[in-house]
Amino acid sequence: MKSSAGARILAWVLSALVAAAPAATCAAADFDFWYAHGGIYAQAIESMCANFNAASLQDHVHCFPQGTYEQTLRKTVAAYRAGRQPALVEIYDIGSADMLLSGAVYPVDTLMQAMGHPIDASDYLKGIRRFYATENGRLLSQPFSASTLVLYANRQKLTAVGVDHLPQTWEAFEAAMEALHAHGKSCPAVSDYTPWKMLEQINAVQGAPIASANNGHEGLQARYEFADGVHRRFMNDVARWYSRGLLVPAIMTRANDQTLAFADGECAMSVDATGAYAIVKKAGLVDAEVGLLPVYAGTKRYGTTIGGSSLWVLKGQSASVYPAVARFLAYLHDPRQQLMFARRTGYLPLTHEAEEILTTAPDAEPDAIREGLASLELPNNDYNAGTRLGFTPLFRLIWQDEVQRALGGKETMDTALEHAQVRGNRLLERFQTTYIDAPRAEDGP
Amino acid sequence: MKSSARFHGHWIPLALGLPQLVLIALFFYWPTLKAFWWSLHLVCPFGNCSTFVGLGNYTRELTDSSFYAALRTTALFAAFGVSLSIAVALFLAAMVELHRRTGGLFRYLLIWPYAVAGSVLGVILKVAASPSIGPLGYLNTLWPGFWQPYLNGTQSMLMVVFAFAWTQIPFNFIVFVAALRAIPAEYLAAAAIDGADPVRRFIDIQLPMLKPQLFFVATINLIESFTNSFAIVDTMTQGGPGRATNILAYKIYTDGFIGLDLSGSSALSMMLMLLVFAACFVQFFVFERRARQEG
Amino acid sequence: MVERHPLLKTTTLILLVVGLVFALGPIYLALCSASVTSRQILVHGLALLPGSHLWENLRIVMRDARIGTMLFNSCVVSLIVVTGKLALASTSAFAVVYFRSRIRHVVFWGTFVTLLLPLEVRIVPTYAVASDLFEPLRRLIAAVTGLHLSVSINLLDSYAGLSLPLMASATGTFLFRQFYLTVPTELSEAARMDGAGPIRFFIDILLPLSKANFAALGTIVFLGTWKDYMWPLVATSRPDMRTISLGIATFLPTETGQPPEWNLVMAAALIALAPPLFVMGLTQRWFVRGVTGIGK
Repeated sequence: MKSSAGARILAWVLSALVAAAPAATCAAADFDFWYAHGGIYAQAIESMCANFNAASLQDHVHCFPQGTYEQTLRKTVAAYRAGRQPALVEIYDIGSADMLLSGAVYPVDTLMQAMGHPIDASDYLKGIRRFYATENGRLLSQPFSASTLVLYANRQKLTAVGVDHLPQTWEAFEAAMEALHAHGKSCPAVSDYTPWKMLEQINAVQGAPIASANNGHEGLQARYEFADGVHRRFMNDVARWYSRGLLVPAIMTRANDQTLAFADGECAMSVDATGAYAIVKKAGLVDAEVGLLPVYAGTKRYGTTIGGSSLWVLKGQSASVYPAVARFLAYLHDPRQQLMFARRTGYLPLTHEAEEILTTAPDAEPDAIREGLASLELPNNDYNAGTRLGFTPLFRLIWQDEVQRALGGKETMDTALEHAQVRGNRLLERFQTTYIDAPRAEDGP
Repeated sequence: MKSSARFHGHWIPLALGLPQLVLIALFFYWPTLKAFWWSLHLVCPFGNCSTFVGLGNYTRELTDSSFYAALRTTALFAAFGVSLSIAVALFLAAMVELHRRTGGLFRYLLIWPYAVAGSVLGVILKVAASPSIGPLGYLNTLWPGFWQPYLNGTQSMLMVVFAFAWTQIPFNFIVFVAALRAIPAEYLAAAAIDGADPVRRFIDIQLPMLKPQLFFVATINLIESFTNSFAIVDTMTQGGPGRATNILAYKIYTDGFIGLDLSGSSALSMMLMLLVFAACFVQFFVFERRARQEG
Repeated sequence: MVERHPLLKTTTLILLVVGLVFALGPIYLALCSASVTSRQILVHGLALLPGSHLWENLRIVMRDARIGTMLFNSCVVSLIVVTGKLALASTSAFAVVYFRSRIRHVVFWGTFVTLLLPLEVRIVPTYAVASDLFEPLRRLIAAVTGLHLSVSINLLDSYAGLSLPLMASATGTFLFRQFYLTVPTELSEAARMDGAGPIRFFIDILLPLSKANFAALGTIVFLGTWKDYMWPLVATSRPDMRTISLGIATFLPTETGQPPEWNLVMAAALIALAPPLFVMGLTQRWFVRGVTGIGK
């Protein structure tokens, strides 16, 4: 009994070793790339990997899906601690603060410079460059998937109730919802009530701060300061729209999902990511019209910010791997790859060159991307380059907690936002204490 | 056991026990130690820094309103979930016992839910509870806006409590049925001759004799409500709305895995361990007493 | 039943039927919704009566490669855990019960403590351990010899990683210990008198006596592993390593980016609960014995 159990355990251990081995045993120019997408997005990434491998004689990239954004970051952390990290990994934007302070990163700009593929940061669209750049303007990771917020509307439904133009202001948006509601439409607009849409983008487009120290871009001393001002106004409007049945929570729709609820024609309007366009298009059920995110009447409109992910090169690989990683990054940076990815997914092109090709191409670009790009090109101030704050994933959960409590009538929206701010600031304080003695990372492999 | 019935030697018992001990050391003692160490430090996820803070993480959690909210939710969930699953199981067992001869089919079928995974049940109930397509949505045609489990904290709590009880009842039911069967029929017959109706008999004779099983089942259910409720919460509500179903085990998961807050989540782990430990201790204590009483 | 009271009998019977409706209701609901078209659900809501599209829906779901892989993974992991736990539990309980050596106390208490702290509670550090199994050894070597090795084993996304942590628990050892204590001591005394060693006694006498016990524990462990959700959730991220109890959640529409087909979701749920129900139906006698054995 015992010896067979022992043999079995040994066998598992060996099989686990073998499963983990390829990364270590393959030729030097092989490396792993972990990405964080599924469905059509994963297909697009896989085909970029396959094309790179087909075109390259000496390099081979192994592309592995690692689940969701959270799972990918979590596995990267675990793998790094165990010394088995991939050479390249896709991390979502709200993980940037952790990655920058991790000491685990080989900065992309240094790598590309050293390997002879220098990338000029000013190649990138302004909104994207500012979102990822450090204080002194360096890009330590390579932007990869970027999406921004636009307004989707079901043209037929709007026309049917006499709304001929897409709402440009929240006032017009409310009027359109009311018109739809009055005509018996059960779902005038849909939202999943997430902070990326309702806090980060709304504040960006109104040019309002979320946190001090330039939304955290200037350092760990940043603290939240969104509970007053435009966010409070907007969320109180949201609460009103919600209670009147104008802005329906995605969870109450048949589709159970914001993008799908718009794509299947159930809801007439949706403020959603440009990346949702691919799904709307694929469903092919509605005549979708896309426009800029509304602003409050009489206020100045700023650019929206982006959300998405960037690619991080990790330390601790053998020296022969990094030239190959650099070639792969240069390949992904190529406008043709960006365009392919944008067309298939609805994500935005990243560089001026790619944008220009896309906008002048004979086959017209997807509407959502055009509007999204226009939205990024609008004037900037300090507050529309996203946030760079610690524990953002937890903060988003807190924000949702509090807002749901407010919508459920447990507290007023004003109190909810104040609570979210206080709880968020406790996280920021802790993040600052955690990293206060963190050793400065060296700028190399 | 008499020592004459035991074998000599050290190496054989060691060899027999070692595989299990190694496995437990790797997947139990080492992680527990790790959690304890993390709970005393502020650690960076990537391991590039750690600051000793003593009990700082504990005091921080203990002064955080969301900890108490989770604790309250856990207590509510446990109290309602455990009492509901015990009450229903006991009731069904007593009914089946009244039908000793014909109850076989019920005995057979009522156990089935045990085979259904919490996540599968969660998915089924999530769809069934959907206000737009589920049967409960009809309530909204009677009273518009009444059934909104994903916005109304009380309703979502009811939902997860129901689901949890559903998964626990079969186990309790089996234990109760077996215990009721073990009660000699003469006791009940004698009481019946004295004119006690089935309800009286249940309260006066059967219930007191079930005490040990009640206690055992309560402890098991309690521990399950701390831990195995995870699948139900994750598939049905994800702790929402507004943390109304955010039980401690779920908070540990989100803080640790989504928030990468190893220190805080480890401190919570250690505290939940204390809770489970207390529950087990009480059970062990009572068992010992019972064993001593039985001689 | 002591007296024969028709009214009482009818009332209790009705109540039992109500209980049964609740117990089997969710399964019935899944069955009905899995047997209609997605169109019908979108228009009329969930079906409350069975339709005629059950086989068609099941076929569509089965054709989806994911579900086959998930079923396979669940089977592999459950069987590994069952065999592993039975082997470990029967032998370690033997060490605990049938030896004089102090070692038995070490084995007993070393195992017993795991009853107190379930996996769910220590999930975050267990994940860290599974991702780097050799860390304790590396640290030990570094502390003793000053050598910093770079050996590591990552059990995430592997069958070993899915099954080993589930085996590290005391329930099985306990069940076997309870059972061995009920075996007449004369048997081992006689064996010792005949000069038979412990291993002989274990294989020739104890194991044949434990057959029912193996079946009981086997069923409980099989169902427990099959139903487990939290560990597969954190220990896997590759879609091809998901178990069915975990994977069922991925049939909810958000992850697929497809318009929801609730009938297929429910068909997948049916497929997910069929194997454990089947096992349960086959082994119910042993299962009940196992559960009442724990309760003793």
